Amino acid sequence: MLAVELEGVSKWFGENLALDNISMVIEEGQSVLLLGPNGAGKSTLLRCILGIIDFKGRISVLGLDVRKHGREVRRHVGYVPQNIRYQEGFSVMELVDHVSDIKGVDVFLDESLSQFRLEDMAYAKVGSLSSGMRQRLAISLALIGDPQLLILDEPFNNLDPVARNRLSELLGDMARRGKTVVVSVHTMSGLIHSFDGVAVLNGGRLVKMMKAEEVVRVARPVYKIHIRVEEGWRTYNTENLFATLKELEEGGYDVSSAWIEEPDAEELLRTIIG
Amino acid sequence: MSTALPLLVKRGLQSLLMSRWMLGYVVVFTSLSLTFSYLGILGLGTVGFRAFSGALAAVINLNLYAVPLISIITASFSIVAEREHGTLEFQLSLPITRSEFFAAKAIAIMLAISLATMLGYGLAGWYLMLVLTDADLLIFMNILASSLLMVFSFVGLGMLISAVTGNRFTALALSIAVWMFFSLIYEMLLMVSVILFRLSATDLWILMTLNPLEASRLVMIYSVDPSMSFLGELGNFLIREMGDIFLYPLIAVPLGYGFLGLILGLNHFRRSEL
Repeated sequence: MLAVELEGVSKWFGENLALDNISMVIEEGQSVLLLGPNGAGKSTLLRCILGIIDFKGRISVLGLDVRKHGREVRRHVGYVPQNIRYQEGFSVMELVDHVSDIKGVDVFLDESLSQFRLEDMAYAKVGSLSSGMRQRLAISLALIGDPQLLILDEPFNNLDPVARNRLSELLGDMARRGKTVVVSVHTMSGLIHSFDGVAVLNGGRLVKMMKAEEVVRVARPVYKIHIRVEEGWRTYNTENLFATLKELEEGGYDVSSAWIEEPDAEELLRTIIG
Repeated sequence: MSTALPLLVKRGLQSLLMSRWMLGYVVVFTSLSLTFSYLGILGLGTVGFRAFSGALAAVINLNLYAVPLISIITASFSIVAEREHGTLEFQLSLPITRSEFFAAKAIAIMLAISLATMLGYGLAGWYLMLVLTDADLLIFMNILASSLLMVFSFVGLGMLISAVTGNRFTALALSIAVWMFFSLIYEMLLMVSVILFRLSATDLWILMTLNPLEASRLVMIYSVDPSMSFLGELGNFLIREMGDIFLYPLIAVPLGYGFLGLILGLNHFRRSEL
């Protein structure tokens, strides 16, 4: 079965065309990176797939027409928005309760929060969390109910390398369990090695659909990991970001304070698009 | 299919009842109701039943200004504040429909303001019970029912304002303008029209009825004085020509404003962007 199917999807914001006649399919169990510069229409496309904004064309998710069965679709989808905002008065625990109640599933609070080291924050008000913690909370909330389809919009924003590593492992695990994963990024973010496909979006148009290994072969993205050691900073160049981060962590380095330099996004896109 | 409406209403109600805004309303409304009741009882020894009427007139006037104002402002913030804080995207990404979200907001606000108003009435009524008869309490209950009718109509108008405006400042300005129109300007225009156009009693009655606040005021006056002598010639005309039937439009008009606001607001909200 197809997890996501788009047919001639267009979206206008007033006079501006945000999505221009996009058609694509994502197979169930596939993991796809939605790659494109800021303003390419990635977030708009994800919101259309969720059925939370109106659009022209047709979108079906897990065999359901999103316009007619939006609520049912969202019951099976975990979503992490790019700009995460919650009602400030909620505590973390109340938010987890709220989402699980609405999804109609039982959830073990500790289990849900410990995936991203938030178990000690259960009673904290959401307004008091740092942006990194909010991001981790958003991912924990998206995983409630073990969704069939996981959609993440720029999930690495505000995450430290340890949390990035954890998220990358989790996405790989989801894919191995047959879940469909769609992640929007404006740079490779090191995820390419654990993904099946890449959809390149530019100016609201779907420019290219490629296999991940093809992108790696063509673009050969190189990441620089700057890590603090006793004598100052040391830099590691790598094509497989998360494998190297894991090696460094196992080697006793403090990866949480590492600074990751991504390959130039525009140059990378030019190389991929050709 | 199960609906998330009760859950959303419960969550919305909890959050409203804990808000400083609502707490302030409860304190002010209850204090004023109790003060008027106290002053009314103080006057009983010297001026008898007329003191009760005076206390009621003060409570009615308090209602006619405070209840619509708190209703329209609270409702007008409901959607626009979520939009402005950026929390709308997260809420709508859950398995709920826009209609459920909108309806839950409206119901929670109506319940919260109704509960707060009933608390004010309840305490004042309990105090007045010390000296008044069952018949007086029935009058009190009728006034309370008219207040709840105003809550419905002004929450409906506030929800419409919230759906069509883009920020809280505009929503606040618009809701205060609507409240001023119905509570102050409409009456002045009516008086000017009577003088300028020499309106007949029927025309005046129709124009008075078209204002939901005026309609509620007439119901309250009728509760205190079924002969409608407060209104002079107009009161005599109403009772003589229409009998008790004249009450129906007075109830229908506020309900109509409430439903119209809710329907137009929902319609706009369902088509709007995040």
